Amino acid sequence: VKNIAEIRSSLADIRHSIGYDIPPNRPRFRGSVIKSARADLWDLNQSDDRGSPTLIVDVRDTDDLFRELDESVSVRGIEALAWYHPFHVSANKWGIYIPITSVHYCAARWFNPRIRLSRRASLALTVLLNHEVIHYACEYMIAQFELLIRACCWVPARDRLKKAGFEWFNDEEALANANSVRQLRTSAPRAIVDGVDRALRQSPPGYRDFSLAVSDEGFQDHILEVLRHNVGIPAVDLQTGFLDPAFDALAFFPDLDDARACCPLYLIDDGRQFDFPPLSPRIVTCIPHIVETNRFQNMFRKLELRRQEEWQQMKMTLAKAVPRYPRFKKLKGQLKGFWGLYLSDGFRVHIRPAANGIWEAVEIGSHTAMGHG
Amino acid sequence: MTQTGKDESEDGGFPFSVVRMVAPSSTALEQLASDIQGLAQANIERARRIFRSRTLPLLGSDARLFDFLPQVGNLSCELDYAILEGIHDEAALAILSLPPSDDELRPNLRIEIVHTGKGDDRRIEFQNAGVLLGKYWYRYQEMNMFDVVEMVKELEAAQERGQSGLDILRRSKPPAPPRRVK
Repeated sequence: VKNIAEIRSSLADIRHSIGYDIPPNRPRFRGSVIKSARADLWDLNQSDDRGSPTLIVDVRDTDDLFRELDESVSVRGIEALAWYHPFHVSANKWGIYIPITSVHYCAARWFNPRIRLSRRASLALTVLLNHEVIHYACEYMIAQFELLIRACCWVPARDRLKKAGFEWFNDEEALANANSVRQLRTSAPRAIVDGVDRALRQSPPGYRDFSLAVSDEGFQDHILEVLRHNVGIPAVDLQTGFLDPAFDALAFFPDLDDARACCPLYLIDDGRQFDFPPLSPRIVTCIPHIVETNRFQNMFRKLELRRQEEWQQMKMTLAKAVPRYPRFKKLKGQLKGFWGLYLSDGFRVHIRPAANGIWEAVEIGSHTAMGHG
Repeated sequence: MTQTGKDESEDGGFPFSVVRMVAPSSTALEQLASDIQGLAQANIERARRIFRSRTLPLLGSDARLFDFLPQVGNLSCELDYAILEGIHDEAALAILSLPPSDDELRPNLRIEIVHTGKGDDRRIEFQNAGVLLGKYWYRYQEMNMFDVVEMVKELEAAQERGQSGLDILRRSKPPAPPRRVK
């Protein structure tokens, strides 16, 4: 995934491709904003802190807020809870915005209350993120086409939509909700997925039509439909072979894990204005405490001295800041729950969060020594 | 814009024709045996995806934009094949297949070409890229005040000569697109 500042700078050479800078939507309530340059570095735990004496308590109670959000969600879909601010209209404030009140709402409305709050909140935040990251991935893909055909696409498509009286493109919202469900299916039990599925079906048209995009075939069809809406007319007009059945337009769609790791996330901590059980949203910016498991130490002892020194150096770096993507990233598949730290010459370390902010180093070795390739 | 209007569209951008997919109706699907219904529905969904992949969405309409009208027959065959694939039951085939056409030169298609006008005035509907993209079209050019003043003077002179001045209105040539195959 290319750097957005670089993409914006190239788009600036294409007339009309970058819109006027507009500020992101204002959050419902005030609260401190926690920004992360990556949307995959968050952590949400239940906190013991019930708030400071200067706590502002909203005049409305939680039930009123939830009823209000029920109505907003039925009219505006998930965008009433979280939103993506596009880089075509913002150089510095683009990214995903999620208020903690929305996380509380989803945790209460979508999941069984017998599940512990921190788990429900993490699931809710993941669902919201997986919806919003699709908007980023689609915008990224469209920007790549704009650079390829040297014609503006995203801004005209947005204006065409407005002119036709629509607030959103149905297939894009269906795709975004489908991504939330697809990702949840890989990590949560059926009952949890069904709860989210039922809730999303109460959304407005487009948002509620996600079931057509859940299968691999449907998902790809919806990505391509978003592309056809945004890029199709100029691409055909410039005779690029865009509609040629042999053309693989999906090649421009970024890997969604990469997209999450490259999209800024703004968590708006507005939950303190209500009497919610406290959650402490946190962005993983550094890892000051790492304990090495026995397995790790056994593997470590067998390494060359320079590798051992590199790891000691890496630990000191981690205490200050986590490395940039992709040198530090969440792992998938059988290594789900682990994070990969990449050293030189293909050597890497698998670490995972343990309790109380402490991380565990579980494995170290080369790509093949770790059981790959 | 007419079907023969390739030259007319030269300054309006690519002329898209407007089309719809003709799929078996829900009533027709209900007439199928229950074991075939699921397969037929999956086939129709696949045909719908093929149709979407070869056309572009037209906002606010169930119709879509098609880029090459002479290919409509081929696309129709492809959709027909997708809809009937794996269905061998004769009764089901009779329900799902396109009815034979009365006119040999105009076979029934899985694609409906949208027309404008009524009666003898029926013409194929076209939508031009330049109109669809409006001010964002790369060859779109707004006249400045001086151009307008000059054009008005020329129009007045043309009218004094007893001419309509239509050629002056049509004369302006927008700039070339960023990249276009000649």
